Amino acid sequence: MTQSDPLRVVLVDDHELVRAGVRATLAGRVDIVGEAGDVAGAVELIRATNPDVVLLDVHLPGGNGPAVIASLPATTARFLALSVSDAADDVIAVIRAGARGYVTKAIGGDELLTAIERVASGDAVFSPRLAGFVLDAFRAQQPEAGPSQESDPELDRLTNREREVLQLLARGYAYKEIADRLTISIKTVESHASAVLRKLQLSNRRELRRWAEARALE
Amino acid sequence: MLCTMKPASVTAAPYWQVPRLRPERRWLGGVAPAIAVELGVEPLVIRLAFVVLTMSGGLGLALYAAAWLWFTYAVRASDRESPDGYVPVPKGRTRAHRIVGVLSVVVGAMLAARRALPAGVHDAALWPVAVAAFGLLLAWSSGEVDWSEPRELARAAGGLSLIAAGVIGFIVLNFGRTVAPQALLLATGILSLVVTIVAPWLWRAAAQVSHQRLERARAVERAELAAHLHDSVLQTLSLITRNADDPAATRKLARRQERELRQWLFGGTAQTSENETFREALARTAAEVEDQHGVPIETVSVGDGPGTDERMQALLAATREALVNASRHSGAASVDLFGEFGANQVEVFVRDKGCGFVAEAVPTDRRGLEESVVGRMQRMGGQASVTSNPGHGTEVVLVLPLDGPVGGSHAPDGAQPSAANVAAAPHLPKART
Repeated sequence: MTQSDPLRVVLVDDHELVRAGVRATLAGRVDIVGEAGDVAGAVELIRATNPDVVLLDVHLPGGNGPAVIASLPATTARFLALSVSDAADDVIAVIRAGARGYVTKAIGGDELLTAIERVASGDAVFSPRLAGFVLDAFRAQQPEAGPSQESDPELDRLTNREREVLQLLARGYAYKEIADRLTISIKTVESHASAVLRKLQLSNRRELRRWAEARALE
Repeated sequence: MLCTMKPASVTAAPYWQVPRLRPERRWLGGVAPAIAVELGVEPLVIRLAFVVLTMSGGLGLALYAAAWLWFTYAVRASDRESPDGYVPVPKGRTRAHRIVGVLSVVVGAMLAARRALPAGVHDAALWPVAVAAFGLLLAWSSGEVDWSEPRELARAAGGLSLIAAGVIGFIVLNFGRTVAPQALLLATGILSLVVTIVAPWLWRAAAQVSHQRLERARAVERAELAAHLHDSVLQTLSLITRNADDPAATRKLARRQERELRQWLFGGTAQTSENETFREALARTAAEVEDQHGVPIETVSVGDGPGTDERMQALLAATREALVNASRHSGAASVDLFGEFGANQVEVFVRDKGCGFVAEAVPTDRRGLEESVVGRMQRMGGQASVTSNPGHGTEVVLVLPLDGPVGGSHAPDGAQPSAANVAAAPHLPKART
């Protein structure tokens, strides 16, 4: 995380205004190696530049955020979803496609930088809203997997600790504050978050499938 | 259904146009009032003329039918679209027009054929041919094929059956009963040939129609969107332009608009406060406080349930108090609100990363938090705790058990009953510098 070289970041958003805003926010703190405004351009750019982190808008012309990730199965770049949308299906779809985090465009500069660094080092980034979605999706005690769906009970429920961490995230706590609060290390908080992200991506819970499918139909 | 309407010739058209049938003025097909409007006379005059012509040889009836077929069908339009409040619809667009058209073509052709053909032929040949022709026209006349509608399907099937009946009838009448099986076979063959040829075309037509329908639905949606944007976003933008010198007002306007737009895009229907759920009530409370105080409130909620009973109202009132307090006194740039409607209890967390406070140093005007929040929650059998850490912010935790007004509930996160204004609370032990 503390490299001497700044992180190489690609910006994917169809609104020039948003890209300009993010560029200004991150100026001098990361190395923005390229920008794209649609799915095809983004795929080409990421292939060509091989960045550390891609800031990926959820809605894009020519497909959507998930389409970009799906077109790059072999990339080492990590994706951080950036959106103004609050719709659960948008957010869950892009996470399930492989993004390692989700933040809203209202995020402050320092928080955005932290999120980029965290994603670059392979950790997960949960905005309060995403944490809320996860809690909602994993709420019912019984997974109720479909009859033919093979379902891994480990993936379909959260541990008590994971729930605690998510609830604190939803309440607006930063990782450091959660670590202090639960008297655990930041590393442990990060590993809980990563575990939850994995469940979010792989679980067959009905709500997650439904949200992801609602978006995939478009 | 006596028509006493005056002809609407106030704004006479500058040129003569095909009379338009107005559905709401008719006795029969609406021909008489349509002509009356064009001529500027009472419809009764035209009606009498038709009656007289019909009595003297039936010509009136034929004229009436012809006029009805020819006239443009008018449907009521909103006033903008057409000066006289009607828009013309091309003839043939309505089903009745098509069927009458088909019938008159068949009858006319039969009458013509009766004269032209020798006497013995017509009964044997004409009727079956007429039936088949009618069936063909009936099947063909369903201009907008919509297979999802059973009536359309029945029409097409009925038309095809009539064609078959006509062919069989023709063969049997002309060549005798003995060939009936062959006739049936032949008819089936012809029919399946027709189906094979026509089906792909029908299919394409159906696809095209559904495509058009989709386009129309999209256009309606776009119009609705444009109307909404005009009423809300454009108005707000103009307000913002006017208030550009006042950052606080501008921020408030933008934030409020953002919330409204979000609600409209993702939130579904706007609810009244009478039947709203916990989630909706929480969002509304946050929105109202945000409007009053201009500090953004990030609301996240999990689970849902009824939000209107007395105890829930108390919880929401306490939440509002905590939000107002954080907005007014903490100095934080934003406030986090998290609500969870669980199986046994409802929890609400209001957190700011503002200045925090020490219990003893709280001025009396800020005792509102203790009285209204903690007192309110306790009266409803719930709990409230306020945790503040000077320099790092404040969190208010509200817990309302769901099983009754006064119950032995367990507080989450070590929240203690009436532990108001606990500065540097036990569960925030680490000094954070």
